[in-house]
Amino acid sequence: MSCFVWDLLQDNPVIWQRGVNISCQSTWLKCTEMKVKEASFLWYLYLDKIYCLLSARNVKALLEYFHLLDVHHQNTLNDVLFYHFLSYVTNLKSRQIRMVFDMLDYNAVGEIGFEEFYLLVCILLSHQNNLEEQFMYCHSRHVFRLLDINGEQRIGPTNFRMYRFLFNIRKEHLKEFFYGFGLTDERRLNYKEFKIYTIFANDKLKEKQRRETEKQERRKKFKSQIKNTVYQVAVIRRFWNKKIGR
Amino acid sequence: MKSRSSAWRPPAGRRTRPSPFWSVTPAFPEAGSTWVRWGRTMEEEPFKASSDHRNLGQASGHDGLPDGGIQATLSQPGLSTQLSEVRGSSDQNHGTGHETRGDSQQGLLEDGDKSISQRDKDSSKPEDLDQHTLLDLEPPRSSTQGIWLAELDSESGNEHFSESLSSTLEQAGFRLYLAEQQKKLPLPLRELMETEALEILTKALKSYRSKIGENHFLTQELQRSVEELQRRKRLLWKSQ
Repeated sequence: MSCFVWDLLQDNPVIWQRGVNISCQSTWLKCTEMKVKEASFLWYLYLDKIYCLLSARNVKALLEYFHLLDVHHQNTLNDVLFYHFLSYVTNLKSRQIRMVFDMLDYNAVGEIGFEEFYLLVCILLSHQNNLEEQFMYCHSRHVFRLLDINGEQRIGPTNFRMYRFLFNIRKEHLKEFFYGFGLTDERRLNYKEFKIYTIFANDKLKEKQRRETEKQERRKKFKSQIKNTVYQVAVIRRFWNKKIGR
Repeated sequence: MKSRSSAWRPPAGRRTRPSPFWSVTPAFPEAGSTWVRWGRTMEEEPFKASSDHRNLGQASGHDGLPDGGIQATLSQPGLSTQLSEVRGSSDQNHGTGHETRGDSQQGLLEDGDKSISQRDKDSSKPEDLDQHTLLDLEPPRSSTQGIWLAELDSESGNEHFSESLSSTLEQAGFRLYLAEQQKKLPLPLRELMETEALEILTKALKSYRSKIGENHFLTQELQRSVEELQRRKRLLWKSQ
């Protein structure tokens, strides 16, 4: 089955093309935060926090799930099945779902196989767990290929804006990165530069985590100091009262 | 790329044990969630968004994959409790070889222990007593189980033999059940997956019907799958 089912459905006569112009869409791309549906099957899967991958058992379960959805026995999901799957397990809008499908269907056959499905699940779970930077750092090659929808081996702020709802690429990080390397905002990155960006973003994430843990430790220390002071004051007061009482 | 990946099998040479995931409890959605969340026992907490995950990810010491590949995140805290519920006081440390043989012999061993203790009362010198008591205290070894069996056959008599046979048959049935369960996903998880797939496919079927009609071969294929899932769901409900 090598045709777009959507063409058959005649829902959208325009064949989805790579490199769609998104300038008119940028407003709705400032979107609601994507969430995986609670108590769905994906919600229960466990994503490793260092490598951002699933365990073998989880992959086995995911494969079973994929085969349940593969009703036409092609080891693929067409766009309709994919659309209903993603609309069930996430809160993405229909245009966003189509964009995701377009991104994953890199050879434009109108179907996605298990590899792409598995990659999507890892992306969704990493987004859910706030591990997007870690995921991009670990799988920068895959992410670069996904973002490079035109196949030009270069990606720019347009690509980042387009898929920000999925990868959560922050504007301020991008600006800082471009400024740090003396690049203009409209500069497009090749793979090596993108890899450096992922390292940069990952470092920023770790720094943020470190600052948070330090803050929490300082708070704990401050609380314990206050407790000690209050205790000492109470002891002194009791002693003083006793002395006066005599 | 499009071919099915091979089913996961445990590494050869390692004693296969039923995973804690293969629960024998009835099919509840909570049990299914518990099954999959065993992969997260490092965190010991249900899934939550935001900062908890980063802190827990740093704290957990089990995260790490060889060669960046996929690792089976097995955790075994529930294993001994589940198995002990089913089998009684089974010792997980004994034996490196065949679990199935160990299971049948374990049941026989318990009967053997009774007979041995009876023998201890009847006869034996203090030295033998000490040896027997030591053997009773020690966990039995798989290599000596054949010897125990021989002793049982010769000394226990018909009554003990029939009891041991019935327990063997029960153990054999249980082993078959476990072997089957190891190949399949646990029922609670299967049920969760099928329920969700059914809802997704039902909506997809509506789209197919409204746009390409009921007579199209794609619609009919999808309809067959939906009916199959509905049938399985009804059977599952009936069995419960």
